[in-house]
Amino acid sequence: MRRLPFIALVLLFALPFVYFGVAAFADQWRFPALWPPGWTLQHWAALGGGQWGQSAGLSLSLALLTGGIATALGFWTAHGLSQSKHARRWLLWAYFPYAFSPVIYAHGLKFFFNSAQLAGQFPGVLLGQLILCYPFAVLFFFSHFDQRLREMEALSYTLGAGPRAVWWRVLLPVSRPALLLCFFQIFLISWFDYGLSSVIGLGQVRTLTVAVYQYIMEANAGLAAVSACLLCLPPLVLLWVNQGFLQKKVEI
Amino acid sequence: MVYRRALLQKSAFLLLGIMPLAGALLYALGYSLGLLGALGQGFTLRHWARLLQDDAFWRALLLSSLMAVSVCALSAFMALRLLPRLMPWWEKKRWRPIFYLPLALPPLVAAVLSLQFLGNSGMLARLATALGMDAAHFPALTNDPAQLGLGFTLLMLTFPFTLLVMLNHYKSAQLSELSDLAATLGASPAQIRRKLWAPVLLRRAAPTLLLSAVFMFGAFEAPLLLGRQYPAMISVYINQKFSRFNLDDVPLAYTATVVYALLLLSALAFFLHHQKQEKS
Repeated sequence: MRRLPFIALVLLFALPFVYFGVAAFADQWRFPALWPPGWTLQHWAALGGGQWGQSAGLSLSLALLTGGIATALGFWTAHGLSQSKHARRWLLWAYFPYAFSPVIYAHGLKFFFNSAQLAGQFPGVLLGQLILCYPFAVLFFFSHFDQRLREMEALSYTLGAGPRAVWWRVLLPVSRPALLLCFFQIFLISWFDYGLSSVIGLGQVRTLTVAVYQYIMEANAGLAAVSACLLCLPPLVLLWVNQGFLQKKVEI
Repeated sequence: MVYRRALLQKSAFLLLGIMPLAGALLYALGYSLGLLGALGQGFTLRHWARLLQDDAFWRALLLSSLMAVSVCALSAFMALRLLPRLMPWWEKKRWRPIFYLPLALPPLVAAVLSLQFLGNSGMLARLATALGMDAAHFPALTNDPAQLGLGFTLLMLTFPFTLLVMLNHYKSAQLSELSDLAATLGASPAQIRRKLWAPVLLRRAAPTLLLSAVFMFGAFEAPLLLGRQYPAMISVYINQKFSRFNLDDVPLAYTATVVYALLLLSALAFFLHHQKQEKS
């Protein structure tokens, strides 16, 4: 009896992954069958098709590029902002895009993307996601550059290190875990994004989330399940490596 | 060298952090006042008057607010109730990944799952049929008037995160030791829960709960798939106005964006003020 709440929690939390795992291999799983009447690999075989590879490749490239660029830029910017007297005023602006609904933000930005002829193109979606994720990275690293790290930097300068040595031999090695954490969290924000990618991408930049939505609209449950499995795969791998990668912690 | 770098760092933040946001908001404000855009014919408050008279807009705001508040309150309540039963499992490291599992679920996939489970031919309807119930009598749980399917999905997206936050705070606030002390002094388990855990954990988790409510207020994927077209949640309402062929709806969409931004700004100002007070 004491185990009941935990067992219920395990069932509830594992249910999505089990369901999509089954649905991705199910053949002709129609109402009112509770269990698939047969099994097939045909939904997965479609993965070999050009469109699939393109969607997965697009999502992966977007997430890797957004994660890499936003983390690097955010780290560098937060270093400067953390030393500014008016840092907190600057940071107010970083909170806003972090909390703004991505789809509404994307509609607000769409005019500029249309004018620059970036809408409906990969670089446009990449830039849109960078605009969304970069403030998150700045907020993330702002609390990372605390008194201890600033004193460590000052000590390195006192001991004769140049700016390049301070960055490459002190700040970056000390911040490696935080850099990895930020990279993977932004990777996931980009990987999970549907609202911004669909508005700025105009449906032409067909990421995995856009593909899932399209399959659901076409009532193609098998392909939607395969896409859902693919979408869940990177976060599950990250969970296996380190649980902390999944839980966002932003403090001011 | 140092000054040049500091200037470059601030410029980068200005260019990528502030300017897009300021540009989007100013453009939306200009459009809403008839000063910008293809339909702009000079200053007018017509779009604001139209929006404020639009029943769908007020209903969208009301629905989003109710959904955000009720989902966050319910997830905090559930987390508080389940905490004592789940704590022993949380403390065993090998079971800990289970608690993080829902964070690996994208909101869109969670919405698709609800559609597959709660829909008219979904898993629950199939189970009901297997138990002898007439499928025609199975209640609509997606796109339903009471928005039950949507509320349930948003709750399932928020609850795991709230539970994790509470579990972490339970440890950092040393509530285990304090509970032992309270029990020694004669407090019953219910009193410990009500008078010790609830105030400490809710106070500590308040900023996170507020941020969760802000995210829920602007939720898009789940309302798009599981909610109704009328009343819609605010993100879906604004998206509808932007996406329609009727060009006269576009200024309304920009005006609603400005209102949404103002509401968000107020919530963030309250959040930051609360944070500042906590620190001082």
